[in-house]
Amino acid sequence: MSDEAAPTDLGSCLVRLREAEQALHAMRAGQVDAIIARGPAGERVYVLRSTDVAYRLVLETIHEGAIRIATDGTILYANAAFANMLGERLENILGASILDLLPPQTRADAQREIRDGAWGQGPFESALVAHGGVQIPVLVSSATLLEEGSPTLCVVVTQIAEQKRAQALLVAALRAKETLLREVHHRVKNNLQVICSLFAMQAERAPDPVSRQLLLEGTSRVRSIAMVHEMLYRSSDVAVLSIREYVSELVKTLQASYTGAPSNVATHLSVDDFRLDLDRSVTLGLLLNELLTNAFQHAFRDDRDGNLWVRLSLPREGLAELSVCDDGVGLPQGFDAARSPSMGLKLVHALAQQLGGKLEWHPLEPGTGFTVTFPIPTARVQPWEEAATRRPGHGDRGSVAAREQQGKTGA
Amino acid sequence: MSPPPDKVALTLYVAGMGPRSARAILEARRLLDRWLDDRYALRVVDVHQQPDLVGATIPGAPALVREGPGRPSTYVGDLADDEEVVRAFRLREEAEP
Repeated sequence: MSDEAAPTDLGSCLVRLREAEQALHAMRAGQVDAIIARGPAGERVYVLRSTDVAYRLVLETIHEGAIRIATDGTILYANAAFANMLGERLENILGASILDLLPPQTRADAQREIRDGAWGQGPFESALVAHGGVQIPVLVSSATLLEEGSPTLCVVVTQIAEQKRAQALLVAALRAKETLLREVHHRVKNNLQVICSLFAMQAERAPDPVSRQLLLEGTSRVRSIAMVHEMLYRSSDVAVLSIREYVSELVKTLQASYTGAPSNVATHLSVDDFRLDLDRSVTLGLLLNELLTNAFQHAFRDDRDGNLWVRLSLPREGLAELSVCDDGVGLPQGFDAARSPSMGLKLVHALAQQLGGKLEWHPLEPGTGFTVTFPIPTARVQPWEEAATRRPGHGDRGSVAAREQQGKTGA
Repeated sequence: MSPPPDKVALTLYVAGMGPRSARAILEARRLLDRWLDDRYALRVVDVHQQPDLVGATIPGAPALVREGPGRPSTYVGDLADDEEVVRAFRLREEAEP
Protein backbone atom coordinates (compact mmCIF):
# COMPACT_ATOMS: atom_id res chain seq x y z
CA MET A 1 0.00 0.00 0.00
CA SER A 2 2.89 2.39 -0.40
CA ASP A 3 4.26 3.96 -3.46
CA GLU A 4 7.88 3.53 -2.55
CA ALA A 5 10.34 2.16 -5.11
CA ALA A 6 8.78 -0.73 -7.00
CA PRO A 7 9.71 -4.16 -5.64
CA THR A 8 12.16 -6.06 -7.69
CA ASP A 9 11.65 -9.67 -6.67
CA LEU A 10 8.61 -11.87 -6.62
CA GLY A 11 8.91 -12.66 -2.87
CA SER A 12 8.64 -9.00 -1.92
CA CYS A 13 5.74 -8.59 -4.29
CA LEU A 14 3.89 -11.43 -2.62
CA VAL A 15 4.52 -10.07 0.86
CA ARG A 16 3.27 -6.63 -0.09
CA LEU A 17 0.26 -8.08 -1.79
CA ARG A 18 -0.57 -10.06 1.31
CA GLU A 19 -0.26 -6.90 3.42
CA ALA A 20 -2.51 -4.97 1.06
CA GLU A 21 -5.11 -7.73 1.19
CA GLN A 22 -4.95 -7.83 4.96
CA ALA A 23 -5.36 -4.04 5.26
CA LEU A 24 -8.31 -4.08 2.89
CA HIS A 25 -9.87 -6.91 4.84
CA ALA A 26 -9.43 -4.99 8.14
CA MET A 27 -11.10 -1.92 6.67
CA ARG A 28 -14.00 -3.92 5.29
CA ALA A 29 -14.45 -5.61 8.66
CA GLY A 30 -14.73 -2.19 10.36
CA GLN A 31 -11.52 -2.63 12.34
CA VAL A 32 -10.04 0.72 11.38
CA ASP A 33 -10.49 4.11 13.08
CA ALA A 34 -8.55 6.28 10.65
CA ILE A 35 -7.15 6.17 7.15
CA ILE A 36 -3.79 7.67 6.32
CA ALA A 37 -3.30 8.91 2.77
CA ARG A 38 -0.50 10.73 1.11
CA GLY A 39 -1.37 13.98 -0.61
CA PRO A 40 0.56 16.95 -1.97
CA ALA A 41 0.79 18.36 1.59
CA GLY A 42 2.21 15.10 3.01
CA GLU A 43 0.50 12.47 5.17
CA ARG A 44 -3.14 13.21 6.03
CA VAL A 45 -5.12 11.40 8.68
CA TYR A 46 -8.76 10.82 7.88
CA VAL A 47 -10.87 9.83 10.82
CA LEU A 48 -13.50 7.25 10.08
CA ARG A 49 -15.43 7.51 13.29
CA SER A 50 -15.37 11.00 14.67
CA THR A 51 -18.09 11.31 17.29
CA ASP A 52 -15.44 12.01 19.90
CA VAL A 53 -13.76 14.87 18.04
CA ALA A 54 -15.02 17.62 20.36
CA TYR A 55 -13.94 15.81 23.52
CA ARG A 56 -10.61 14.89 22.00
CA LEU A 57 -9.98 18.52 21.13
CA VAL A 58 -10.68 19.54 24.72
CA LEU A 59 -8.36 16.86 26.08
CA GLU A 60 -5.60 17.73 23.66
CA THR A 61 -5.65 21.45 24.44
CA ILE A 62 -6.07 21.55 28.23
CA HIS A 63 -3.04 22.24 30.41
CA GLU A 64 -3.79 19.37 32.77
CA GLY A 65 -2.39 15.97 31.97
CA ALA A 66 -5.06 13.52 30.83
CA ILE A 67 -4.41 9.80 30.59
CA ARG A 68 -6.34 6.61 30.28
CA ILE A 69 -4.88 3.53 31.90
CA ALA A 70 -5.70 -0.16 31.88
CA THR A 71 -6.07 -2.12 35.12
CA ASP A 72 -2.46 -3.31 34.80
CA GLY A 73 -1.25 0.30 34.57
CA THR A 74 -0.63 0.38 30.81
CA ILE A 75 -1.11 3.90 29.47
CA LEU A 76 -3.66 3.63 26.67
CA TYR A 77 -3.97 7.33 25.99
CA ALA A 78 -2.05 10.40 27.08
CA ASN A 79 -2.40 13.98 25.95
CA ALA A 80 0.48 16.25 25.02
CA ALA A 81 0.23 18.14 28.33
CA PHE A 82 0.97 14.93 30.23
CA ALA A 83 4.05 14.26 28.11
CA ASN A 84 5.23 17.87 28.52
CA MET A 85 4.79 17.62 32.27
CA LEU A 86 7.21 14.71 32.32
CA GLY A 87 9.58 16.18 29.72
CA GLU A 88 9.11 12.94 27.79
CA ARG A 89 8.07 12.23 24.21
CA LEU A 90 4.47 11.19 23.81
CA GLU A 91 5.32 8.09 21.77
CA ASN A 92 7.48 6.84 24.66
CA ILE A 93 4.63 7.24 27.12
CA LEU A 94 1.80 5.55 25.22
CA GLY A 95 1.87 1.85 25.88
CA ALA A 96 4.25 2.26 28.83
CA SER A 97 3.20 1.58 32.43
CA ILE A 98 2.12 4.41 34.71
CA LEU A 99 3.83 2.52 37.54
CA ASP A 100 7.22 3.29 35.99
CA LEU A 101 6.39 6.99 36.27
CA LEU A 102 5.58 6.86 39.98
CA PRO A 103 8.05 7.21 42.86
CA PRO A 104 9.21 3.68 43.84
CA GLN A 105 7.78 3.86 47.37
CA THR A 106 4.26 4.51 46.05
CA ARG A 107 4.24 1.84 43.35
CA ALA A 108 2.91 -1.12 45.35
CA ASP A 109 -0.09 0.83 46.67
CA ALA A 110 -0.75 2.41 43.28
CA GLN A 111 -0.61 -0.96 41.53
CA ARG A 112 -3.25 -2.36 43.87
CA GLU A 113 -5.45 0.73 43.62
CA ILE A 114 -5.25 0.85 39.83
CA ARG A 115 -6.17 -2.83 39.64
CA ASP A 116 -9.17 -2.16 41.94
CA GLY A 117 -10.10 0.99 40.02
CA ALA A 118 -9.65 3.05 43.20
CA TRP A 119 -6.63 5.10 42.20
CA GLY A 120 -7.52 8.81 42.24
CA GLN A 121 -11.15 8.17 43.15
CA GLY A 122 -11.33 11.02 45.55
CA PRO A 123 -8.46 13.23 44.37
CA PHE A 124 -5.15 12.82 46.16
CA GLU A 125 -1.70 14.31 46.07
CA SER A 126 1.07 12.25 44.58
CA ALA A 127 4.21 12.71 42.56
CA LEU A 128 5.41 11.70 39.12
CA VAL A 129 8.98 10.94 38.18
CA ALA A 130 9.83 13.17 35.24
CA HIS A 131 12.57 12.70 32.66
CA GLY A 132 15.88 12.88 34.52
CA GLY A 133 14.43 11.53 37.75
CA VAL A 134 12.97 14.79 39.06
CA GLN A 135 9.83 14.26 41.11
CA ILE A 136 6.98 16.64 40.35
CA PRO A 137 4.08 17.04 42.80
CA VAL A 138 0.68 16.41 41.22
CA LEU A 139 -2.98 16.09 42.10
CA VAL A 140 -4.50 12.90 40.70
CA SER A 141 -8.22 12.44 40.10
CA SER A 142 -9.90 9.75 38.09
CA ALA A 143 -13.11 8.18 36.87
CA THR A 144 -13.68 4.57 35.91
CA LEU A 145 -14.75 3.89 32.36
CA LEU A 146 -16.39 0.60 31.55
CA GLU A 147 -16.04 -0.02 27.86
CA GLU A 148 -16.44 -3.33 26.13
CA GLY A 149 -16.26 -5.19 29.39
CA SER A 150 -12.80 -4.19 30.60
CA PRO A 151 -12.64 -1.23 32.97
CA THR A 152 -10.11 1.53 32.44
CA LEU A 153 -9.29 4.60 34.49
CA CYS A 154 -9.57 8.06 32.96
CA VAL A 155 -7.17 10.17 34.98
CA VAL A 156 -6.59 13.91 35.17
CA VAL A 157 -3.18 14.92 36.52
CA THR A 158 -2.71 18.50 37.69
CA GLN A 159 0.69 19.97 38.50
CA ILE A 160 0.68 21.55 41.94
CA ALA A 161 4.29 22.63 42.23
CA GLU A 162 3.23 26.31 42.12
CA GLN A 163 0.59 25.83 44.81
CA LYS A 164 3.10 23.91 46.93
CA ARG A 165 5.62 26.70 46.59
CA ALA A 166 3.02 29.35 47.46
CA GLN A 167 1.84 27.25 50.40
CA ALA A 168 5.39 26.86 51.71
CA LEU A 169 5.95 30.61 51.42
CA LEU A 170 2.72 31.30 53.29
CA VAL A 171 3.62 28.89 56.06
CA ALA A 172 7.08 30.46 56.37
CA ALA A 173 5.56 33.96 56.44
CA LEU A 174 3.08 32.89 59.09
CA ARG A 175 5.86 31.39 61.22
CA ALA A 176 7.86 34.60 60.94
CA LYS A 177 4.81 36.61 61.98
CA GLU A 178 4.18 34.32 64.94
CA THR A 179 7.79 34.60 66.06
CA LEU A 180 7.53 38.36 65.89
CA LEU A 181 4.25 38.41 67.81
CA ARG A 182 5.72 36.12 70.44
CA GLU A 183 8.69 38.44 70.78
CA VAL A 184 6.36 41.41 71.17
CA HIS A 185 4.34 39.64 73.88
CA HIS A 186 7.59 38.76 75.61
CA ARG A 187 8.79 42.36 75.63
CA VAL A 188 5.43 43.76 76.72
CA LYS A 189 5.39 41.23 79.56
CA ASN A 190 8.95 42.21 80.59
CA ASN A 191 8.12 45.92 80.55
CA LEU A 192 4.95 45.37 82.58
CA GLN A 193 6.96 43.34 85.07
CA VAL A 194 9.38 46.23 85.43
CA ILE A 195 6.40 48.46 86.25
CA CYS A 196 5.22 45.89 88.80
CA SER A 197 8.66 45.87 90.43
CA LEU A 198 8.75 49.67 90.57
CA PHE A 199 5.31 49.76 92.21
CA ALA A 200 6.38 47.10 94.69
CA MET A 201 9.52 49.03 95.58
CA GLN A 202 7.46 52.16 96.06
CA ALA A 203 4.98 50.25 98.22
CA GLU A 204 7.81 49.17 100.54
CA ARG A 205 8.76 52.80 101.07
CA ALA A 206 5.17 54.01 101.44
CA PRO A 207 4.71 56.33 104.46
CA ASP A 208 1.40 54.78 105.56
CA PRO A 209 -0.54 51.50 105.16
CA VAL A 210 -3.22 53.08 102.94
CA SER A 211 -0.72 54.31 100.34
CA ARG A 212 1.04 51.00 100.54
CA GLN A 213 -2.21 49.16 99.87
CA LEU A 214 -3.02 51.40 96.91
CA LEU A 215 0.37 50.76 95.34
CA LEU A 216 0.01 47.00 95.84
CA GLU A 217 -3.41 47.09 94.19
CA GLY A 218 -1.85 48.89 91.22
CA THR A 219 0.85 46.22 91.07
CA SER A 220 -1.78 43.52 91.01
CA ARG A 221 -3.70 45.17 88.15
CA VAL A 222 -0.61 45.53 85.99
CA ARG A 223 0.41 41.96 86.80
CA SER A 224 -2.95 40.60 85.64
CA ILE A 225 -2.25 42.19 82.23
CA ALA A 226 1.37 41.02 82.18
CA MET A 227 0.15 37.45 82.74
CA VAL A 228 -1.97 37.59 79.59
CA HIS A 229 1.10 38.52 77.57
CA GLU A 230 3.23 35.91 79.28
CA MET A 231 0.75 33.15 78.50
CA LEU A 232 0.34 34.25 74.92
CA TYR A 233 4.11 34.31 74.58
CA ARG A 234 4.30 30.73 75.83
CA SER A 235 1.17 29.38 74.11
CA SER A 236 1.02 27.56 70.80
CA ASP A 237 -1.39 30.14 69.45
CA VAL A 238 -0.08 33.67 69.91
CA ALA A 239 -3.45 35.33 69.27
CA VAL A 240 -5.82 33.58 71.65
CA LEU A 241 -5.54 32.63 75.28
CA SER A 242 -6.51 29.47 77.13
CA ILE A 243 -8.92 30.90 79.65
CA ARG A 244 -8.78 28.00 82.10
CA GLU A 245 -5.02 28.21 82.45
CA TYR A 246 -5.13 32.00 82.83
CA VAL A 247 -7.90 32.07 85.43
CA SER A 248 -6.31 29.39 87.60
CA GLU A 249 -2.93 31.15 87.42
CA LEU A 250 -4.51 34.50 88.30
CA VAL A 251 -6.41 33.06 91.28
CA LYS A 252 -3.26 31.34 92.54
CA THR A 253 -1.15 34.51 92.24
CA LEU A 254 -3.70 36.78 93.93
CA GLN A 255 -4.31 34.30 96.72
CA ALA A 256 -0.58 34.15 97.38
CA SER A 257 -0.22 37.92 97.51
CA TYR A 258 -3.31 38.73 99.60
CA THR A 259 -3.59 35.89 102.07
CA GLY A 260 -1.09 34.26 104.38
CA ALA A 261 0.61 30.94 103.82
CA PRO A 262 -1.08 28.58 104.42
CA SER A 263 -4.00 30.57 103.07
CA ASN A 264 -6.98 31.24 105.27
CA VAL A 265 -9.18 31.07 102.14
CA ALA A 266 -9.90 27.85 100.27
CA THR A 267 -10.44 28.47 96.57
CA HIS A 268 -12.70 26.33 94.39
CA LEU A 269 -12.34 26.65 90.65
CA SER A 270 -14.61 25.48 87.88
CA VAL A 271 -13.58 26.92 84.55
CA ASP A 272 -14.78 25.71 81.16
CA ASP A 273 -11.85 25.78 78.83
CA PHE A 274 -12.22 28.05 75.87
CA ARG A 275 -10.05 30.54 74.04
CA LEU A 276 -10.38 34.28 74.02
CA ASP A 277 -8.63 37.00 72.07
CA LEU A 278 -6.09 39.36 73.63
CA ASP A 279 -8.39 42.37 74.17
CA ARG A 280 -11.16 40.45 75.85
CA SER A 281 -8.65 38.41 77.88
CA VAL A 282 -7.10 41.59 79.30
CA THR A 283 -10.52 43.04 80.18
CA LEU A 284 -11.69 39.77 81.71
CA GLY A 285 -8.39 39.45 83.61
CA LEU A 286 -8.68 42.94 85.08
CA LEU A 287 -12.31 42.32 86.01
CA LEU A 288 -11.48 39.04 87.73
CA ASN A 289 -8.52 40.73 89.43
CA GLU A 290 -10.86 43.32 90.97
CA LEU A 291 -13.46 40.78 92.10
CA LEU A 292 -10.82 38.54 93.66
CA THR A 293 -8.96 41.42 95.26
CA ASN A 294 -12.23 42.67 96.67
CA ALA A 295 -13.01 39.28 98.12
CA PHE A 296 -9.54 38.68 99.59
CA GLN A 297 -9.35 42.17 101.06
CA HIS A 298 -12.89 42.71 102.30
CA ALA A 299 -14.80 39.43 102.55
CA PHE A 300 -12.01 37.71 104.47
CA ARG A 301 -10.53 40.68 106.29
CA ASP A 302 -8.72 40.15 109.60
CA ASP A 303 -7.56 36.68 108.42
CA ARG A 304 -11.09 35.36 108.53
CA ASP A 305 -11.32 31.76 107.25
CA GLY A 306 -13.56 30.97 104.34
CA ASN A 307 -14.18 29.72 100.83
CA LEU A 308 -14.01 31.38 97.46
CA TRP A 309 -15.76 29.91 94.44
CA VAL A 310 -14.74 31.00 90.96
CA ARG A 311 -16.76 29.68 88.09
CA LEU A 312 -16.47 30.54 84.43
CA SER A 313 -18.79 28.67 82.12
CA LEU A 314 -20.37 28.81 78.71
CA PRO A 315 -24.09 28.38 79.45
CA ARG A 316 -24.83 28.58 75.74
CA GLU A 317 -22.99 29.33 72.50
CA GLY A 318 -21.71 32.89 72.34
CA LEU A 319 -22.25 33.58 76.03
CA ALA A 320 -19.89 33.33 78.98
CA GLU A 321 -20.77 33.59 82.63
CA LEU A 322 -18.27 34.46 85.35
CA SER A 323 -19.29 34.12 88.95
CA VAL A 324 -17.22 34.83 92.04
CA CYS A 325 -18.87 33.81 95.32
CA ASP A 326 -17.54 33.97 98.85
CA ASP A 327 -18.79 33.08 102.29
CA GLY A 328 -17.15 36.12 103.87
CA VAL A 329 -18.60 39.09 105.69
CA GLY A 330 -21.05 40.16 102.96
CA LEU A 331 -21.81 43.48 101.30
CA PRO A 332 -22.91 46.58 103.14
CA GLN A 333 -26.60 47.47 103.11
CA GLY A 334 -27.72 49.22 99.89
CA PHE A 335 -24.56 48.34 97.96
CA ASP A 336 -24.32 49.56 94.33
CA ALA A 337 -21.20 48.73 92.32
CA ALA A 338 -21.62 51.77 90.05
CA ARG A 339 -21.82 54.16 93.02
CA SER A 340 -19.37 52.33 95.26
CA PRO A 341 -16.59 54.49 96.71
CA SER A 342 -14.22 51.57 96.02
CA MET A 343 -12.24 52.04 92.82
CA GLY A 344 -12.08 48.27 92.38
CA LEU A 345 -15.84 47.78 92.24
CA LYS A 346 -16.28 50.84 90.02
CA LEU A 347 -13.75 49.20 87.72
CA VAL A 348 -15.70 45.94 87.79
CA HIS A 349 -18.80 47.82 86.70
CA ALA A 350 -16.91 49.62 83.89
CA LEU A 351 -15.08 46.49 82.70
CA ALA A 352 -18.31 44.48 82.58
CA GLN A 353 -19.74 47.20 80.38
CA GLN A 354 -16.62 47.13 78.23
CA LEU A 355 -17.18 43.42 77.68
CA GLY A 356 -20.75 44.24 76.62
CA GLY A 357 -21.92 42.26 79.64
CA LYS A 358 -24.13 42.58 82.66
CA LEU A 359 -22.97 42.70 86.29
CA GLU A 360 -25.17 41.33 89.06
CA TRP A 361 -24.54 40.84 92.72
CA HIS A 362 -26.54 39.16 95.41
CA PRO A 363 -26.03 38.64 99.12
CA LEU A 364 -25.48 35.06 100.25
CA GLU A 365 -25.96 33.59 103.70
CA PRO A 366 -23.17 34.24 104.52
CA GLY A 367 -21.17 36.13 101.89
CA THR A 368 -21.59 37.66 98.48
CA GLY A 369 -21.97 36.47 94.89
CA PHE A 370 -20.96 38.48 91.82
CA THR A 371 -22.00 37.35 88.36
CA VAL A 372 -20.91 38.84 85.06
CA THR A 373 -22.58 37.57 81.91
CA PHE A 374 -20.96 38.66 78.68
CA PRO A 375 -21.05 37.74 75.00
CA ILE A 376 -18.06 36.12 73.32
CA PRO A 377 -17.57 35.78 69.57
CA THR A 378 -18.67 32.27 68.62
CA ALA A 379 -15.95 31.79 66.03
CA ARG A 380 -13.33 32.16 68.74
CA VAL A 381 -14.94 29.74 71.12
CA GLN A 382 -13.13 26.48 70.81
CA PRO A 383 -13.95 24.24 73.72
CA TRP A 384 -11.02 21.91 74.09
CA GLU A 385 -11.36 18.28 74.88
CA GLU A 386 -12.77 19.06 78.25
CA ALA A 387 -13.01 15.56 79.56
CA ALA A 388 -9.34 15.00 78.77
CA THR A 389 -8.07 18.19 80.40
CA ARG A 390 -10.34 18.38 83.43
CA ARG A 391 -8.49 17.10 86.43
CA PRO A 392 -10.26 15.68 89.42
CA GLY A 393 -10.40 18.18 92.26
CA HIS A 394 -9.62 21.03 89.88
CA GLY A 395 -13.18 22.25 89.75
CA ASP A 396 -15.93 22.17 92.29
CA ARG A 397 -19.15 22.60 90.38
CA GLY A 398 -21.21 21.00 93.09
CA SER A 399 -20.40 23.57 95.73
CA VAL A 400 -20.84 26.50 93.36
CA ALA A 401 -24.24 25.23 92.33
CA ALA A 402 -25.11 24.74 95.97
CA ARG A 403 -23.92 28.22 96.79
CA GLU A 404 -25.99 29.70 94.00
CA GLN A 405 -29.02 27.86 95.15
CA GLN A 406 -28.33 29.14 98.61
CA GLY A 407 -27.96 32.65 97.17
CA LYS A 408 -31.32 32.48 95.48
CA THR A 409 -33.07 31.36 98.62
CA GLY A 410 -31.19 33.89 100.68
CA ALA A 411 -31.95 36.84 98.37
CA MET B 1 15.50 7.70 19.95
CA SER B 2 16.63 4.53 18.23
CA PRO B 3 15.93 1.14 19.76
CA PRO B 4 18.80 -1.17 20.78
CA PRO B 5 20.06 -3.22 17.79
CA ASP B 6 19.38 -6.56 19.47
CA LYS B 7 15.69 -5.84 19.80
CA VAL B 8 12.81 -6.03 17.36
CA ALA B 9 11.65 -2.47 16.77
CA LEU B 10 7.92 -1.97 16.38
CA THR B 11 5.55 0.97 16.14
CA LEU B 12 1.89 0.78 16.91
CA TYR B 13 -0.23 3.49 15.32
CA VAL B 14 -3.53 4.25 17.02
CA ALA B 15 -6.08 6.97 16.37
CA GLY B 16 -7.29 8.74 19.50
CA MET B 17 -8.57 7.32 22.74
CA GLY B 18 -11.32 5.04 21.51
CA PRO B 19 -11.81 1.46 22.63
CA ARG B 20 -10.07 0.14 19.53
CA SER B 21 -6.93 2.10 20.41
CA ALA B 22 -6.99 0.83 23.97
CA ARG B 23 -7.48 -2.73 22.84
CA ALA B 24 -4.74 -2.46 20.22
CA ILE B 25 -2.20 -1.32 22.82
CA LEU B 26 -3.11 -4.08 25.26
CA GLU B 27 -3.19 -6.75 22.54
CA ALA B 28 0.16 -5.65 21.10
CA ARG B 29 1.77 -5.74 24.55
CA ARG B 30 0.29 -9.14 25.34
CA LEU B 31 1.34 -10.59 22.00
CA LEU B 32 4.89 -9.22 22.06
CA ASP B 33 5.45 -10.15 25.70
CA ARG B 34 4.37 -13.67 24.88
CA TRP B 35 6.53 -14.17 21.78
CA LEU B 36 9.50 -11.87 22.30
CA ASP B 37 9.60 -11.46 26.11
CA ASP B 38 11.78 -8.36 26.53
CA ARG B 39 13.48 -8.60 23.14
CA TYR B 40 11.39 -5.88 21.57
CA ALA B 41 11.00 -2.11 21.67
CA LEU B 42 7.51 -0.79 21.05
CA ARG B 43 6.57 2.82 20.60
CA VAL B 44 2.95 3.87 20.32
CA VAL B 45 1.96 6.80 18.13
CA ASP B 46 -1.42 8.50 18.34
CA VAL B 47 -1.91 9.66 14.74
CA HIS B 48 -4.31 12.38 15.87
CA GLN B 49 -1.83 13.98 18.22
CA GLN B 50 1.33 13.28 16.25
CA PRO B 51 0.49 13.14 12.53
CA ASP B 52 4.12 14.08 11.83
CA LEU B 53 5.24 10.68 13.05
CA VAL B 54 3.05 8.76 10.64
CA GLY B 55 5.20 6.89 8.15
CA ALA B 56 4.10 6.33 4.58
CA THR B 57 3.87 2.61 5.24
CA ILE B 58 0.45 2.43 6.92
CA PRO B 59 -2.89 2.88 5.26
CA GLY B 60 -4.92 3.16 8.46
CA ALA B 61 -4.93 2.95 12.23
CA PRO B 62 -4.70 0.98 14.38
CA ALA B 63 -1.73 -0.61 12.66
CA LEU B 64 1.33 -2.40 13.96
CA VAL B 65 4.54 -1.97 12.00
CA ARG B 66 7.69 -4.00 12.39
CA GLU B 67 10.43 -1.53 11.57
CA GLY B 68 13.33 -3.94 11.81
CA PRO B 69 15.55 -5.80 11.80
CA GLY B 70 14.92 -7.20 8.38
CA ARG B 71 12.14 -6.45 5.98
CA PRO B 72 9.46 -4.09 7.33
CA SER B 73 5.98 -5.50 7.71
CA THR B 74 2.60 -4.01 8.57
CA TYR B 75 -0.60 -5.36 10.05
CA VAL B 76 -3.72 -3.19 10.05
CA GLY B 77 -6.75 -3.52 12.33
CA ASP B 78 -7.62 -5.95 15.08
CA LEU B 79 -4.56 -7.67 16.56
CA ALA B 80 -6.59 -10.35 18.29
CA ASP B 81 -6.17 -12.75 15.39
CA ASP B 82 -2.94 -14.22 16.79
CA GLU B 83 -1.93 -16.63 14.01
CA GLU B 84 -2.23 -13.99 11.32
CA VAL B 85 -0.21 -11.50 13.30
CA VAL B 86 2.44 -14.03 14.30
CA ARG B 87 2.96 -14.92 10.67
CA ALA B 88 2.98 -11.29 9.51
CA PHE B 89 5.68 -10.32 11.98
CA ARG B 90 7.67 -13.60 11.78
CA LEU B 91 7.36 -13.94 15.55
CA ARG B 92 7.76 -17.71 15.51
CA GLU B 93 11.16 -17.32 13.85
CA GLU B 94 12.15 -14.68 16.40
CA ALA B 95 11.06 -16.88 19.29
CA GLU B 96 12.99 -19.91 18.01
CA PRO B 97 16.05 -18.55 16.20
